[in-house]
Amino acid sequence: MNEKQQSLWDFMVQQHDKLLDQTLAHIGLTFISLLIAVAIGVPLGILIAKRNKLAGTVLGFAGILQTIPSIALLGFMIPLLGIGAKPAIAALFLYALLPIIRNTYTGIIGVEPSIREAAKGMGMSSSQVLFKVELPLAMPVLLAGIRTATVINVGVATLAAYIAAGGLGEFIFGGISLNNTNMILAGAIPAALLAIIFDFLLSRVQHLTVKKMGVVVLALPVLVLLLSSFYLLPAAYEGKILAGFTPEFMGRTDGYLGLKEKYKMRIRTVVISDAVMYKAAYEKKLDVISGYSTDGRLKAYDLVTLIDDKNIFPPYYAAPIVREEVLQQYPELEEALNMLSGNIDDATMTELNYRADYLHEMPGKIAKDFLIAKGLWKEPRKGKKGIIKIGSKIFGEQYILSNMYSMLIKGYTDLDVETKTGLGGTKICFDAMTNKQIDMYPEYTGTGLLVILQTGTDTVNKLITDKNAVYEYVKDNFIGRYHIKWLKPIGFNNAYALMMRRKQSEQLNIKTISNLKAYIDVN
Amino acid sequence: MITVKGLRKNYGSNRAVDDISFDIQEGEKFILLGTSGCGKTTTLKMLNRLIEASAGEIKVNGEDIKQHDPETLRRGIGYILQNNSLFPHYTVEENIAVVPQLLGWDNEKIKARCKELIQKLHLSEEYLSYYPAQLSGGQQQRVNIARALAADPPILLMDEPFGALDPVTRSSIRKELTQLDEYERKTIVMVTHDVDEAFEIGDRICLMDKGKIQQQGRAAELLFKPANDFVRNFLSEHYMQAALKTVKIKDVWYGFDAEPGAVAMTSEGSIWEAMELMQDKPVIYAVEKSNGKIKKIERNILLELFSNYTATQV
Repeated sequence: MNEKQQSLWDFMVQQHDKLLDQTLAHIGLTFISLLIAVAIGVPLGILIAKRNKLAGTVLGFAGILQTIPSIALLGFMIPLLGIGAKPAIAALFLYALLPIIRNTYTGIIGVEPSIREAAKGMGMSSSQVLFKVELPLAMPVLLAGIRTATVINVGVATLAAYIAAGGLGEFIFGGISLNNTNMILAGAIPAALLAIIFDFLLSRVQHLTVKKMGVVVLALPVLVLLLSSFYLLPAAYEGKILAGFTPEFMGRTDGYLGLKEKYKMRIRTVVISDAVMYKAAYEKKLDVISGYSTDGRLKAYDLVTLIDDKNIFPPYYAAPIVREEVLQQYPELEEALNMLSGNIDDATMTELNYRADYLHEMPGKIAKDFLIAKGLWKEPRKGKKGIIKIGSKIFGEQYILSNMYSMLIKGYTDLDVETKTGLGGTKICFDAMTNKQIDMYPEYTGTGLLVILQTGTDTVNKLITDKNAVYEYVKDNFIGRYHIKWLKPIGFNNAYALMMRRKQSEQLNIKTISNLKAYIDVN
Repeated sequence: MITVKGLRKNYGSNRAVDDISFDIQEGEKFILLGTSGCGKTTTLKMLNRLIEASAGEIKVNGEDIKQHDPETLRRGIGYILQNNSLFPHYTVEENIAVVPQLLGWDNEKIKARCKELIQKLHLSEEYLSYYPAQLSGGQQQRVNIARALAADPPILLMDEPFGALDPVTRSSIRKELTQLDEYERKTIVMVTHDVDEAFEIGDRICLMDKGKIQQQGRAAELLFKPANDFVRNFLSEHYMQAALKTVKIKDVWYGFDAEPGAVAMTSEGSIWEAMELMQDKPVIYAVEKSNGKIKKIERNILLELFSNYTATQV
């Protein structure tokens, strides 16, 4: 335990500049959106307190916004505002709005009618009644709303990393993808601490007497403005070319770290979810992205992969991995699963992914069509011999493969299948496997080598150019360490690749990663 | 000082106040009496335009109150509500200072006025820095009175000012109010449903029901010459007490013997007051202010004279 804590500390020290950037960006995102939400929510709350007829409509609308899942709200923002800070701030603003409007409204409505009447009866004008009596008395409730909104925003702001807006989500999602607990904690702990600290500070303000609160309430916007400005700090590198990389890619030696080390690339980067990355490249929001070479969107958005002339991306041949225990119990399983081997090459997989990601066909239908075309499909036997739990990560290719395996198992054995699809990233999937929550899922040799086995640099460098050597290495080590068996590779290689728009790559004559580096250095 | 003519307030088709007229003289204590929903509070609030009249005319010192904006009008009229109407986020001093501040007095003057008022209302100066929540109900209501008197307005409007207090506190604060040196010159309009309170404070009482005035006049007129059954029934429960408060010692002055002694009250006082003073002694001495004549008041004789007097009035 002590060793582990030490290494988390090491990680944080080692990554302190990134951590600081992310924390400041996180604070900035939280408070810019909060500032806008206060600036709009408080007057709106006052308005509906004065015009009660509007209250139902406004609160209802803000309530509906609140119920939209945060990741979906971010998704809706992209067509409107693109990627980066704007959609993130807009989404956070919408989340902060309801508690602020509602508490302003409740606070003002809650002022004793006799007190309001006394204020009028003394001869205060309506603005004097508002500022001298209603707002000060509503302040504790109003501040409670701002407090709720702040804590919500600190939490939701982690998702901003999905759309290239930065923040501590970069570490959290990077860590989940990379099976790196330290990285997750390096993001999660500061995020939790921010929430706790802001909540505590605001609770102190809330419990001040109204008199002292006056000073604080004046100081607060200044402070918030200051905190917001963190976000506007200049980016590390300037340049014409903007790269969008997934959190996973950012943290991998066979990713951004390798680009920096082996290619000496100094490129302006933002972190972004692969769900929106391809579209952002197509819409010219990004110039270079880190994609997968069999991704269907490659075809859909007319992107080209750059040649990895220095071999930093190891091979990612897909193969089913199965718990040994299950294979011993149901030996017929191996034969059924191996039927797919040699049947899908890169082009075929890209085509299948294209149908899923771009034509939005259901993975089950794509899988069945494919198996029928290959003459592999058989009616399910509806066997009850046992249940195989198939997992998959949360992207189209994995859904398609897990569907194919499900059909093969049902058609060729007397086993039944239970699918647990959409298990976040590698870490979640693999942990589910070691904890016997699932029996098998499709994995990639490169991921096994680097992410799960965390193989040392020297060994990786030796293996990396030979796809068979990588396969044999992970196969041996998985059996030894985890009692998990790699079956035969399916055939295609879904490796990491840098991608650009075809047109831009032709215009700039960039064909390899070295070309790209040369171009960036000049411009 | 206050003239109301044909005053009306409609809420939809419901006439909350229906064609009311009255005149209030300077220094007069005018009571709007009635059960809840009779329109008395609505009438009061129309006087400082917290509620705008649907029809009719209100003049203060001969000027229509609609000639000025409502804020200016209200700053010139004291307004006392129940004790939970103090501003809870202001100290006692800041509460009292509200109207002077709105009128733009300088700080020295406001401070001095706050101190003066707090003393007049028998609270010690340290209370000035307290918040309303730290005071008892009675203390809060004293501050409430001080707040209304702060800018020394000639008119005081009081909306059930003692309604939330217990009977003992209520009568003691009522006494303090009536003993203030500025009390005599204030023109007061008070809303109450409490008959005893109305008869104790009111020079003139306006009894309302269903938005209309049933009878207005001096206490004795309502008591001894009720205009209709409503007035009679309304007062019947409180008849004895009201009568004791209405009939003055001077009304039965003829029946007592002149005899020098320690004067306890004037002949302007009510029979009720004399009875209270006679709780622990059979005899007190009263003086007639105009000529300094002192007479001996005995309980037996007093009660007999009182019952004779009321009999002749009905």
